[in-house]
Amino acid sequence: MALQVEFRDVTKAFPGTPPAVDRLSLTVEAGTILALVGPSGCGKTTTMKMVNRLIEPTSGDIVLGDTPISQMPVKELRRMIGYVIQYVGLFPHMSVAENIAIVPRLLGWGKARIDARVDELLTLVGLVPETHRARYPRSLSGGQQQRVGVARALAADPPVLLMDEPFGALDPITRVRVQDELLAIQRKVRKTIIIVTHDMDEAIRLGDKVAVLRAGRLVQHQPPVDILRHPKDDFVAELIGHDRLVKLLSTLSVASVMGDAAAPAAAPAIDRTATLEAAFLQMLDTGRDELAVEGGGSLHIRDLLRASTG
Amino acid sequence: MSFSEYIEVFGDNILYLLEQHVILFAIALAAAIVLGVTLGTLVYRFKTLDTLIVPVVNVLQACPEIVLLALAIPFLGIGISGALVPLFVKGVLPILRNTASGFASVDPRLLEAARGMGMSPAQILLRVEVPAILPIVIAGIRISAVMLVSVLTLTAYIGVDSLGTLILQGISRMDTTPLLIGSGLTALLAITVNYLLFGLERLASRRVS
Repeated sequence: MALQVEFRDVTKAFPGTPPAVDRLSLTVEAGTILALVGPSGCGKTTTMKMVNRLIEPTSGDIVLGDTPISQMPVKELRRMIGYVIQYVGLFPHMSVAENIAIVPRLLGWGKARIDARVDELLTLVGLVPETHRARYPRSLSGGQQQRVGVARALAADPPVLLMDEPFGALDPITRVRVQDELLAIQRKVRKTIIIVTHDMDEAIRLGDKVAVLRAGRLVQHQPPVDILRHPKDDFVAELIGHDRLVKLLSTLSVASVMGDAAAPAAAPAIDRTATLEAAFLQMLDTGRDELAVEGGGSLHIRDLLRASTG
Repeated sequence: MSFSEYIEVFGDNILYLLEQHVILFAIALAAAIVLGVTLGTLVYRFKTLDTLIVPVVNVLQACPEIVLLALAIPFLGIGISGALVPLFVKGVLPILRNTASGFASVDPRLLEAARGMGMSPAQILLRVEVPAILPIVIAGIRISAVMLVSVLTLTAYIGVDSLGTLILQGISRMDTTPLLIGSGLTALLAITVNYLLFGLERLASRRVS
């Protein structure tokens, strides 16, 4: 189950400063991932914390499904929302199983149901229940701790997941792996996920849509491909970086732009699911301007040029 | 009188004094724990109390025990209460300080994660804060306990029975036997208490550190 999250003209002003979030309206469709991205102080974390009412908006409302969250009891609301923060969020004095069981216990589940759920979730996030459930967070690697954090947030099968810089403390290689795992998990559980990050690459990788915030205002809210093709202004372009078009190619698959015509006999082969970046590199590598797509069809360098401008 | 003769003659008395010492110690430590943990929690929750309570406790802490005992006599008289009150007061500070700094050392992001998962303030206190600060508080209790064991010998000066009575006897009669027995048992008691509480501290911090 997943619920839509809708921000309706939400403003949060702290006394004596410009609004941290300024008349924000946007909808996160049920079962999709929204990446909130922007520099420090842009209001992305404030935006996220208003969803589980760790911060109350000054005006406007947030609607979960059909219900404005201001009309829901705070504890009930929070137990419906999974919350993942950088790996310090695991309680060091509780075992992995105890950490995951927190919300189910608060909800009064029986022991057998909790035990079964813990094992199910550990398996889902790629940990072995027998070897990991009794361990303590300090004995886990950063990536494992992060997976336990995700399992804990999913424990009571909440319709919405909030993730605050969840992978910020991981090294780049582990980060990419855990990001892939999150996407694999999302394909199975289909939650509405709001993920806060300052890393545009992470936003592009994870988000079905990306919302770029600057000084509390929503600058651009679109699928990653559209943001990469047409950054709205210099600010967004700068956030993406100089290799914007390389990132675009790495976001698109061969299948999305290939032609039906058969390739010349000697053309090197490429998989349909490969990225256009991989295809482009193969063209540079082999000196050919056309590749044969496995299973029929071809990819010409003209297709890449078309893809880059949309 | 030789050592073995002394023990043969006064053995029961030594056991009695040891027992008295342990009872005094238990009462003083229990009172210090209750007051120290309470004040430490208050000091942490209400920062303004910090400026009121801490200087008072600091002055009492800096005061020599024998002076505190002397000062207490006009108010509390000679006897158990006159002996205990000034001494347990000395045990309060380490516990107070460790309780307050224990609370302050809990990562605020952990507390926010707990709130974000829908825990009530009472649940956050019992399930998150208490387990996190327990080893630090026990460390404070250990410091107080070791100090109280030895300081309690001074109560002999105002007529309260303890291992200090043996030491005083030894000094006044120029007899090393009771002096050695009294101070030896006191030292042994202090070491035992130290190791017991150290074990407890390790047990509590096993999961945290």
